[in-house]
Amino acid sequence: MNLRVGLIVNALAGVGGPVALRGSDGVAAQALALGVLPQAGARATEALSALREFGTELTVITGSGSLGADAASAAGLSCKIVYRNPGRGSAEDTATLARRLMLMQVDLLLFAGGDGTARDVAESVGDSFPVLGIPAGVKMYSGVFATTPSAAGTLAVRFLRTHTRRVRQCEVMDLDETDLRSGRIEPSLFGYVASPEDPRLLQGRKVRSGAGDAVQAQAIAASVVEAMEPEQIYLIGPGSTTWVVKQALKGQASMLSVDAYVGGQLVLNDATASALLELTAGRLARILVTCIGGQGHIFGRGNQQFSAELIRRVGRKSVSVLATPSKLISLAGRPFIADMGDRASAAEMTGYVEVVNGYRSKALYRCEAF
Amino acid sequence: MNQVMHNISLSRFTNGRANLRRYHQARWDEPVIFELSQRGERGVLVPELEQEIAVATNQALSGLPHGMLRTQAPRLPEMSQNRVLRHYLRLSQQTLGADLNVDVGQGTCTMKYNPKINEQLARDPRMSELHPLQDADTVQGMLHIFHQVHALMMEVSGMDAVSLQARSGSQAIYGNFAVLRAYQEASGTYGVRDEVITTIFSHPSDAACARLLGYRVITLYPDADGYPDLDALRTALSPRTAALIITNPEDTGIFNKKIRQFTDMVRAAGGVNIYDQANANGLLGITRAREAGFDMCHFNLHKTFATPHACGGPAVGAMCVTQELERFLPSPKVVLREGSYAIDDAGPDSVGKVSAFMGTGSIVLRAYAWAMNLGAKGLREVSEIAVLNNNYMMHELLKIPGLSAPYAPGKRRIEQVRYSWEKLHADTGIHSEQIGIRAADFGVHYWTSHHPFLVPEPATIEPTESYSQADLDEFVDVMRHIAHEAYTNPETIRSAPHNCPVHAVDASVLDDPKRWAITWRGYQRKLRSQEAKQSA
Repeated sequence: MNLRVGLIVNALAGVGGPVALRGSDGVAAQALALGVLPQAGARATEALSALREFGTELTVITGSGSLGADAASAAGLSCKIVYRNPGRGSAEDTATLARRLMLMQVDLLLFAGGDGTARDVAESVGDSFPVLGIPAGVKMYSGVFATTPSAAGTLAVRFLRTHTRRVRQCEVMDLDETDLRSGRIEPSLFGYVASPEDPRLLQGRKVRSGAGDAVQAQAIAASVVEAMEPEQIYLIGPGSTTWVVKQALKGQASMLSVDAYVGGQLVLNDATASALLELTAGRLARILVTCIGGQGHIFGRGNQQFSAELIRRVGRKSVSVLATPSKLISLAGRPFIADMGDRASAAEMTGYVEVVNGYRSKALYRCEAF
Repeated sequence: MNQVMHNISLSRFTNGRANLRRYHQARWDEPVIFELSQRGERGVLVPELEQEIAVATNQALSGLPHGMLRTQAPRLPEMSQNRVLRHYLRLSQQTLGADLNVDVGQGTCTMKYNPKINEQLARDPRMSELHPLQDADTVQGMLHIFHQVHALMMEVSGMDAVSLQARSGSQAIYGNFAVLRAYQEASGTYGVRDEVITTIFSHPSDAACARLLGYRVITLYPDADGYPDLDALRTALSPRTAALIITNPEDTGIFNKKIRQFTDMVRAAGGVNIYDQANANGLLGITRAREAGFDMCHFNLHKTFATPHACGGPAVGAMCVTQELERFLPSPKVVLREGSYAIDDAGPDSVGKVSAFMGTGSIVLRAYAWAMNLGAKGLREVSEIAVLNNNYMMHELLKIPGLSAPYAPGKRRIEQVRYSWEKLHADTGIHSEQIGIRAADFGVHYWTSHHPFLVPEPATIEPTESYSQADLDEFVDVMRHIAHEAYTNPETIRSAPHNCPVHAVDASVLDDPKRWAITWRGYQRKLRSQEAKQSA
């Protein structure tokens, strides 16, 4: 076993938090001047110390100094440096190092940072490569982060130890920090990365789940596709679960867009809010969306193309949320959230929403709207 | 004594109270039995055939189709009797079996003592030598017992008719859905009413069996108090509703007092009510399916009626239905006609067989012996003690830092509790499954819960009526000790087990069809193909 773990530390991640700068993009110097000590390196070390059990079997491949080498050495791991930059971390450093690590085909890419770092990593490596976030930023809306640095370490060890290295698609979300500082909260979906699936999340010893999330998503898609009415318009939102449905239908759509289908054919690609209103005028339509893992948003996060007016028109009974059982459980009993910004559509969405959670299998789940 | 047990007292008792055991499991490094085979070794030397017999029997196989005859002898392990005996004894010493440990950690399974006298009865030649094709006249005693157990199940459930044919709980659930389908086919609603409503805390087999018979499943999530959500049920009901299948209490151990409202709403919407009584151990003689408004239910005799679970069976799931559904029950059935018992075909409406012949007679016999020995008052006492034990244990366990019982705070539970180590995990990073592995170091078995883990870091503990206060205290002490370790020395738990021969098992291969093998032959084949690949 010769394991190679890639590491990227965004040394300045999180420094904006303690001084209420709501993020660190572009304001790191300001935060450091206020006396904030960067914590990302220490958090990375905490996660990495779990990897010590692999001994000499494991090499960390990373950048020089605060980009990763310092954290790896502090955790007692041997490392190989593939990128040297004397400066303190920047988005360019993250992106350059991420691309180099991808070319080196490491077994797992660990990064310490926040949503901004996750975005930089996702833009560089895409969704084909296992990535796990060590939480060290101010905002961490993205599903790619483990709950704590030590949980990231535990999950990394499990992932590297198991023979079937299963991954799941995780959202990369970010808020625009300039907007946020002026009081607007509007996290957007920036893409997806593949992240290790915790094998213990679903497995009890008495009953084993034969199917991981990927298989379950296929079952959901099969169920949705077979139940499609030929005349009805299907408006399918962004997301990894809905993407499986789009792939089963005809036409070139994208994981991040809202697309419209009739009779199994793509009729409107990457639709805007006004285009959706025009298309559905006077016709039967059904909306298929997914929920943001751990948080539960079904409208108003990364799919603002579904306007308040459209939702009023279509109605709650014609909304299906496609979500695997583990995604529902990640909400820990909290309801779905429809963030509509409009009282009439919020009233329409308050109540029980149909969830397609498997093949010919549904759940009813509460939705709150505001 | 090794390092991780150094703080466990060397004496068995302190001031009359038992200390933790310094348990250590045997380690035999015992191979798979096929690897023990020695060519030519025999357990029994069969004498040479006498000429006369050989002549009389040499045509014995000629009636079989040629294609079904073996071309070579089966490759069974060749071993002497004493080596076989040693092999299985050694394996048994590397497990924590039901008769060996305080088995309350296997919640939802209703692990109770299976009286050994009932094993003797089941092994009596008058039972063990019966053949399922014997003429009814020659098995009147056994048919009498079936008939009596029917009456017993009718009394306990309030239903009008019973079938004991299903050989497991899941098979009985399947059987009840088969009855539902037959009933719908007879009334012309099959395919029209095609939705079955269940809850996330009901047994996973409920949804699975419904799907197997062509139904679509709608799952309800609990409300804030842990009850199935009545408003969600109202939303789910429609002209497509075929049935509700529900457990009560669910695996949380919380009894749903509104159950009659549930069944009334389903009936008003034109649906059938099915009760999964897997969790009946706290209800015998106290509440009945009939009064709760159900049309069908089933009991697991291997749980509530103290017959062995064996290794996944054989067992019995007793299907109980109302008079309206009786004609759809499996065939054949036992009937009393003019003073004697007969085995009758159940008629054209029957779902047919859900299992071969009459089901597992020896299990029916054990359950009969157990119930008759207790009597009606005794059965109720079983439930009362099971509930008392559970609530005593919950009271003691909830004193342990890091452990909670989610939902319905302050309320008592029926026969089991789904606990959560969420706080302990947040504080220490230790998972429920790791607690279970460490528990084995003290000689007790512990199981987390069914997936999906709706309750985070779950543990389900069900004491039943079989265990004494001292037994329950021992289990609680083990949990308290491990929780203390989690807060003070979590590494001891992370590196567990220390006193058991089998350490961390990589279960991920079970999800990988390329790597799993369920037979020795399959294992050999995969091994060979892997070796071929490596050498290529």
